[in-house]
Amino acid sequence: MAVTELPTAGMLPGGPGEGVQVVIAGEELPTQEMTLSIGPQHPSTHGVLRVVLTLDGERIDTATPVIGYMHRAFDKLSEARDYRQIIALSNRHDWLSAFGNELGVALATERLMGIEAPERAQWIRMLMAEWNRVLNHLMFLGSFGLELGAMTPMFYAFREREDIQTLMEMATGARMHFTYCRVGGLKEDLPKGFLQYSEVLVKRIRHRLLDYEGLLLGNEIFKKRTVGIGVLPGEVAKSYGVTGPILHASGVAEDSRKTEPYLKYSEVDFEVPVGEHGDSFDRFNVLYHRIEQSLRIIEQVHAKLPAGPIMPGKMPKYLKPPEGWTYVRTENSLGETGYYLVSRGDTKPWRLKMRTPSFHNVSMIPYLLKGVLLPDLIAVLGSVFFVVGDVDR
Amino acid sequence: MTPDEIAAHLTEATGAAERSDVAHGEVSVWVPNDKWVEVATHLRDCGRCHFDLPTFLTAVDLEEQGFEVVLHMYSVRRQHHVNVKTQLARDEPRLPTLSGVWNGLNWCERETWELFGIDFTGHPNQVKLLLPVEFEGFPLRKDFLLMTREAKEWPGLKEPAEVEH
Amino acid sequence: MIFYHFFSNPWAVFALKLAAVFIFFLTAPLVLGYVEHKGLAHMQSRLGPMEAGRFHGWAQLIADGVKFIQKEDIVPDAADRRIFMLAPMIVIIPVSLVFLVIPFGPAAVSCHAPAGTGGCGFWGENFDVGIFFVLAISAISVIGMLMAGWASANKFSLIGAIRGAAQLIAYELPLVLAASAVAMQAGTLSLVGIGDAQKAYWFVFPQIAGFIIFVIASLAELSRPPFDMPIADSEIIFGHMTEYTGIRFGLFLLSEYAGIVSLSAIAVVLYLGAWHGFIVPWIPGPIWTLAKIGALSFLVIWLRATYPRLREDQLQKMAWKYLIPIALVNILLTMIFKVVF
Repeated sequence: MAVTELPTAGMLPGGPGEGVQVVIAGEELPTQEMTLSIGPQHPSTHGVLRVVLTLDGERIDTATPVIGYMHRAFDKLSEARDYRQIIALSNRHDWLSAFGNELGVALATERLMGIEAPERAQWIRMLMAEWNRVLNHLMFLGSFGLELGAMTPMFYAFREREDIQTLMEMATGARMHFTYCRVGGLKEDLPKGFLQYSEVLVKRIRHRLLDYEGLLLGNEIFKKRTVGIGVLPGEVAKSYGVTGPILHASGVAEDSRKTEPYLKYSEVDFEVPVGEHGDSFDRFNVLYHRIEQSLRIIEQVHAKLPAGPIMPGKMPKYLKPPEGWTYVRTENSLGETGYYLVSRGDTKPWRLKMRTPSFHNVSMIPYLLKGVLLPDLIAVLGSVFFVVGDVDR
Repeated sequence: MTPDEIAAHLTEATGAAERSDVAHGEVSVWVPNDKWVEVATHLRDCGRCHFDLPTFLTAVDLEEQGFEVVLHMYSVRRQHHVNVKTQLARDEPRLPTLSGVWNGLNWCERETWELFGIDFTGHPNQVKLLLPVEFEGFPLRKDFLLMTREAKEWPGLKEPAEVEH
Repeated sequence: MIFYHFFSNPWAVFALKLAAVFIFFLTAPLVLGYVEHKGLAHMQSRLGPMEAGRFHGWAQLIADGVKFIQKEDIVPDAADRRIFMLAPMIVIIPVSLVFLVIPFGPAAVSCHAPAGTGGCGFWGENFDVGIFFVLAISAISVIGMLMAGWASANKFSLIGAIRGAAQLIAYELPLVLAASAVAMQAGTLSLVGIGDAQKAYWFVFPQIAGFIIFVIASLAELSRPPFDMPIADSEIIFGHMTEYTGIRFGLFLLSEYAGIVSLSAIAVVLYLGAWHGFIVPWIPGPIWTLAKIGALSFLVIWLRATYPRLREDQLQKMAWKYLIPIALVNILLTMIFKVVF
């Protein structure tokens, strides 16, 4: 705030020119904006995101996200790897939805090569993708609470995540970076006991979700901190390319599982939860209800999973997609993860562009942060769900 | 609209489509550089197209043919896609910015600028996004070599399908 | 006889009381800290410390203390060195002084103590204006907080310190208003007197509104969840403590836990019948007092596991719009009550 015109100052007696100017203290006191750098090492950015703020008191004037601390050139690396290796590369950028990422690569390659995965493989892929979604959303349910000062949901979320990771480990041998997809199908079939444990887990998690409802969704202070904070209108969200739960919370039910079903999503019954106001609370609420829907899909997969092979009978020895291009979009945990694949008939892609939801979500942050209070920065940042690896790639 | 209808509509409405190509259920329409902004604005505003969600903007290095810039858009209401593409010369590639048409393309263009060296004229804030400020070169161009891979080829490349390579 | 002579020497009594208060001041926060570690852990379905001291990690906080002492005492280059180093003492001394006047038991029936030693009983000192002394002295800590925040030369520290000061100003008033209603009810300002006055019934029953206000205001004054905005770790790292390491940081933590104990103790004396027991009144008074302090402190820990954090402006709004008016009405009602009965 600059010093503007001084108010008509009263002149003390003393003759013209020598009077003492009396300035009424108040608005005209000059204040200075403070620049505050949140991150790259800061407890609430879960990852190395940096946000440079200019503050007027505790009110944020401008916010500029600075990204790139975790950039590892996925696009360039994938031009030097063959398709199997890209699967292993791709599940590392968004470490919370590893299966969803590798699924996209497999689908893109399969589409270019004209391969279709066997029925059973598609159902299992869907099962794993949904479990991965639950895994991802639980993480954000917990961390959002933690950022608002409620530490208990975080530990509960990790308790559940631990169970699911055990389940995933049974099938894939890994707890985070599954690398379970293969072009054409899957690495191997589900082990014995997997489905039974999966059924047990669905029931257990559905029951335990009530804890979160009590601790956060129904909590007065939580509502006070999130309702009406960081309102994102649907039109603005779309113009920023925001997808996934954040877009749903703004009232736009765009979900490629519904609009352009891949795998077997057209054969299962589920809903896309949408919010009304697009505020932090709605975003959190949508995330919570997405878990319920994912559990519904998982239950249907349990019932409908057909028997059969998990890889096509005959796969080419070399994975050489013919010359061409394609764009495959999948509804990943945080939004639309897409792969724009250009092939020149080589074992390596000519160009593989990964379109990640977090990148677009974070690019929208300056819009949401304008004019909010510093404590609300946390309520906003925590509800714009992103994984820094997914932003930087 | 079906992919073919979108291509036909673009040719008809803007007269800009040079050629089009439908692959795997999606259409690509090539437009000249100078119609880039016009086409994008039309696709956004036209009621029949109603493309409201810019999915991504990137480029592909075509080596001697220069660069191809790809803009992918999606319409939430009409549920169709379009890939608008344009080709740029290799030396001093330049394209007007679309960040005024969609906010979401601001970062995409910054990224494309730093990785391919394509200059988006009129961009409000064309500075490095992912790379460090002091980084030189445009890493996604094909002539930018992965130095470690030049010194020693990636050993994983040779197994298992390519042992004889 | 030697025994009698010993207690008739004011200096000996003084030294003994000081030692007792000091030992209580050092041990009670450790016990509370351990309870917080374990209690929170079990509420959050985990184990908490399990290694130090073999049995369920009982020695964890002692080990922490040793670690704090060993660590390098770093003062940032840009910091105002002397004020930075002084701040933790300013925070901790007032908290320790509060324990001087907390009565843990009733006055002895036959008292041979010479004048000037504060009478006989389980307390350090029996001030006639005890209630004002504790409330005034416990507010001094905020000066240390401001000193720490300003001297750290860190923006996060500064924001934290300013928030802390704003919070204290907003919450000191409801705290004092609630406490003065109790003083009116008891007809005395002495903490021992207030304790004695609750022989028939605890003041929490007639003063329930005051008790709730007092607990909320104490939580805010202690910067404990849900009012921990001054040290909100996800926003401003750790508020005024961000730049502190080693034993100075340890002193801040000690003062936090000592603060919980001291404010719980004040609340117990003011509202929860001090040393008066129920059902099993043959249990000695000091044990009753300790048990009640423990229960109230546990409530503070419990709240931490349950609630998210409010926002600073919401907190201020709550103080000025609800707590202070209610506290004033409470005083008015107490006045009518006193006059009518």
